[in-house]
Amino acid sequence: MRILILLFYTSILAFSCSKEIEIKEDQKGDQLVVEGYIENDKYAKVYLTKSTNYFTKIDTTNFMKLLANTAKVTVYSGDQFEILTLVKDKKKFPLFYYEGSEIKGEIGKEYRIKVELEGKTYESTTSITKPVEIKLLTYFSKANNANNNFLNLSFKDPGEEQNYYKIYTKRIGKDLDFKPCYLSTFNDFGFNGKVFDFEILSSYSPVVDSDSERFFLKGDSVIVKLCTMEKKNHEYWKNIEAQIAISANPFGLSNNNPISLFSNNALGVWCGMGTSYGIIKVK
Amino acid sequence: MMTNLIFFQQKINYISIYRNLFISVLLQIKIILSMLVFFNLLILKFVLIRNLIMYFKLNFKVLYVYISLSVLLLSNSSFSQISKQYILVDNQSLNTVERYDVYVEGKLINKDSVFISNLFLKDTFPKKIKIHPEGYKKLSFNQTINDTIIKVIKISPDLKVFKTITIKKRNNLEFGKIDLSNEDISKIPTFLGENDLIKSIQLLPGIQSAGDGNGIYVRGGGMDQNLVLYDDVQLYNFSHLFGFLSVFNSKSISKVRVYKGGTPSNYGGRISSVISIHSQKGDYKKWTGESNLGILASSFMISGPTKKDTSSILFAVRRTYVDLINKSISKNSDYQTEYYFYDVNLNYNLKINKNNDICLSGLLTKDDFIYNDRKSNAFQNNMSWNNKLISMNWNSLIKENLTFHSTLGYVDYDLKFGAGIYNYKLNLFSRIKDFTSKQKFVFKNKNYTSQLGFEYNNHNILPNNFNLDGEKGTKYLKKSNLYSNDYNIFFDQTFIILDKLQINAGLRYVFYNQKGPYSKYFYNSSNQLDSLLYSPNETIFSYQNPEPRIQIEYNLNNQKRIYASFTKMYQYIHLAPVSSISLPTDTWVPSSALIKPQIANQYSIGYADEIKKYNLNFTTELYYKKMENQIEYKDGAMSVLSIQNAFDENFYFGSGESFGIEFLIKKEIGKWDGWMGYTLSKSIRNFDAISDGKTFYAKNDRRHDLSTVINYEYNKRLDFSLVFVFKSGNAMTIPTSRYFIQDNIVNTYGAKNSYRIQPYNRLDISVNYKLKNLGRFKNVVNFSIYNIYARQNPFYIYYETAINLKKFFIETKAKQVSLFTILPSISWRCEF
Repeated sequence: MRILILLFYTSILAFSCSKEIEIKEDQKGDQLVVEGYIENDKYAKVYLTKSTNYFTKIDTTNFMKLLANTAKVTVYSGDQFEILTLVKDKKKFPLFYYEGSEIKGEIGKEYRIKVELEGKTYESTTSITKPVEIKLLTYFSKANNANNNFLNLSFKDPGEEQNYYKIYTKRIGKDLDFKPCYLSTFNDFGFNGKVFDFEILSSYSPVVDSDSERFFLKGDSVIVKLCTMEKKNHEYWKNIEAQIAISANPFGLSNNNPISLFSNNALGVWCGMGTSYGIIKVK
Repeated sequence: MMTNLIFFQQKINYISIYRNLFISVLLQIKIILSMLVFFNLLILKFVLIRNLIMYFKLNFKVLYVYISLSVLLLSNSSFSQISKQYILVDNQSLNTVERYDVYVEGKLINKDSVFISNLFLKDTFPKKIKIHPEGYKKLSFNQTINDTIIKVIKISPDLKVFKTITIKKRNNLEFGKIDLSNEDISKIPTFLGENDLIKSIQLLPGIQSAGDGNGIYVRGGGMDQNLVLYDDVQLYNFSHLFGFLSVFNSKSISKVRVYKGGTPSNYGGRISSVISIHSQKGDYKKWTGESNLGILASSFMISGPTKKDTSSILFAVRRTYVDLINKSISKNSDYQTEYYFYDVNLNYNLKINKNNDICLSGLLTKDDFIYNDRKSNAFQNNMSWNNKLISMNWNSLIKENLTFHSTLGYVDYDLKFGAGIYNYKLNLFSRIKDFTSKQKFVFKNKNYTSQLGFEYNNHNILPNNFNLDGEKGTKYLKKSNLYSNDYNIFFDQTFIILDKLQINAGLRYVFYNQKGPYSKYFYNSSNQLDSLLYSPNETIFSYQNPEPRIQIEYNLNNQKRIYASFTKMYQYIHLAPVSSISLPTDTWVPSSALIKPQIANQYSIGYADEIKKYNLNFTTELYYKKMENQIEYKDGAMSVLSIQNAFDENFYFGSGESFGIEFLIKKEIGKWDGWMGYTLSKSIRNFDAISDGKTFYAKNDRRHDLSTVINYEYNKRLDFSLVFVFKSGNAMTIPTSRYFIQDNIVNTYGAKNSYRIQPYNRLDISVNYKLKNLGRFKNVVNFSIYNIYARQNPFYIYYETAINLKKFFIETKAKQVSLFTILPSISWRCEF
């Protein structure tokens, strides 16, 4: 009887199946994607790429279609403006970025970006919100595994207004750039005006990261970046974070597009960030 | 006063002066009323108001006299005769028995309705009356002129006849509602050896399923819009096995009634349908039992008297073997996967006296799933959900045709979900605790049924309490419990006019309030976080709404009927699915200032015909439903990501429409029986915040939905059953492009629900073979094959991306997952 039942359950698994299907639906790739940041005391940095049709196969023959390195990118601040310079970066996709060298981000100021590409103009504005200081940065390991470390970030929310936060980390010598941590985007709902402890677990991108380590290891030196931002940019990142979190879940219902923050319906974000930094070595 | 009236009626033959005087007064009133017969609505209004006043007086004697008078006035065709009405009441349940044949002096004079005998004064008494009620012992008696106007006769079920009759079943199909018996369910091919109630309901026209799952969508409505009642107490999650089976053990169900439209006013709180499940009562006479050994689970039921003819008990239990099997398979595996479910039903019935009985029933269900990576302890996942339900029903026969039904109920549903990476755990806990009280008076006679009642529901909901459980733990704001009440008063009247026209009109009035304790956090005009604290029982927000309902049915002749109905319903508790299929993690939320009650106005017309030549019944119904304040999750986010919002800030609101035509042809008598249902329908939604305000298809929009059930009794030992289902594919949203942002690939999506997945179809067969009886043991072996031609029906679609940026390569493929492609099962049932 037991063998019969075992055979039966095996047959259920065998009869459940997955097959490739063809979806014919209007595709709408080739939109400009802007990923631009301006922080306090730093110059603007902008990545430009293009979207592709969802089911279009990308290889060496059409990879260049993802890039937008012929654009003119201008940043305005009051009467000042600056045309950003195209910089080559072989280490990281999309191989190029645009960077400023004159206008540095200032807290409370508004910045406008204008991207001109293939006869179209795309614009958006952002402000740099007041940064919040990191009060304490510690690490702790699990009792059963001394090598699995969390960071604990402690800061005091200003309290006088609604704050929107995002936390990044960068392991010196390991990460090329700052990466948002796991569940990095949150607001001060529930701890307005109070000290808040946030446990940091690293995130990883299956697209660019070779290791999928979520813990900080013994010997890691980690820079932690605590950012504040405007509500509209916070909403954008929250939507993206939800999409990434759900992307591996076939039951996920991540089918709402974030509201476009650019004229002419470009995708992406122009994000002013009030930042404060902390560094810690895991011993 | 009532006694006086009866006395007066009894003496009417002898006191002719008073009689003539009385008749002359009645005659005048009768003439006026006869005129009003031509203005049915006026009558309706008149009687409604009069009886409402009566009920509020809560004087049953006055009520009795008043309604008796009304009946007399409306039903007597001549004042030279007196109506004697006989109402048959089941001596166990005290419910009235509606189908019986009446013979007076050997002549069949009344069929399939409450019997009113018109006694002419010139007649000779006593008259010999014989009554043949369906499923009950026949009875006969002599009628005298001194009998009371309304006589209640208690009758006992005839167990031998009852079995025969239930196979024969009733002939007339009803509009807007469908009844399923335990036997209907047991005939349908099993799923993994289990006869599933919800899978049987999904085969009815106008009811759509979510593929192989147990989701129910009625006439284009959402999954949360179905009121599922177990012995009049609401269940929020009725799924086992992640939604592939229901918690209802068919051994413990006596009957099910499904209302798709024309819902009577004693039901409310959901805008699409009512699925009322009645548990099986214990046997008052002798101990009986049944066991079922299936491939997935086994069940056992025992029923019998604790005191003969006075009290009885029924106990049923069902449990799956999956965990036991899996334990032996994966004992040495690096991965621990455990899953089990069980359900327990307990029923206790007590006849307090000849007019009162109490039924106490309980339902306990549990599902528990654990996944653990034993080797590295890197990933753990657990999910469990439980239902605890208690219902107490008291039925009382107050007067001969006035009954009182009282329900007290409590349900406690909880869900625990946990996912962990090493010791870093994400925990989610949701809970609903409901207390229900429903009191109802029913007055019934031949041409007039009236019910008045009051219902109170207290909801205590904890939606998605979430915490990250690390060493120290990130302390997010704890979700607080959400409290709400609804108070409902309902009034329902059914008239039969001239034996042709039946009007059912009702009104339900609901007062709903969201109440404290509650801490409401919000950002004030200075953009500062502020809070409002509500004390216990303090009203936070309230709604009150009337829900009128009316149904009119007209008999064109004995076989053909036409029907029209209008129903307005409100819904104060909502569920927005967080995933593309229904999972137990879906969370219910109450109405608040932001979440307005859902509203549905449903209009339907129908036609029914009895094709006697072929023993067939045919119905068709055309419906249109307009729904307001429909809800969808914002951003389509998992609920844990919206933890930082107040519970009512995570939704978009919009409207919906659905319309369609349903056809049902059913054969109930003969070696062959079964039905074929077809629905042509469309269901659309419109949300300002979704798809730029453009209209889109509802996820469950199904253009075509065909179900066929055929049962064939080859001989007394062998019967066959076949089910064929064809449904248009679900609507879904698919990504149209992708782009890079912050080192990740994200998608842009096309118009909401613009893509249609492949149609769903399958054929199931079943064979029942009755083995030779071993003493009192009757054995039946069932062999079923689900999806016999191995159709790969889509369960979900996912996307698989291969990416290597160093080699400049990205490719995405769409994949469809199908479950249950050909699923044989065998089960053994033993009755004793």
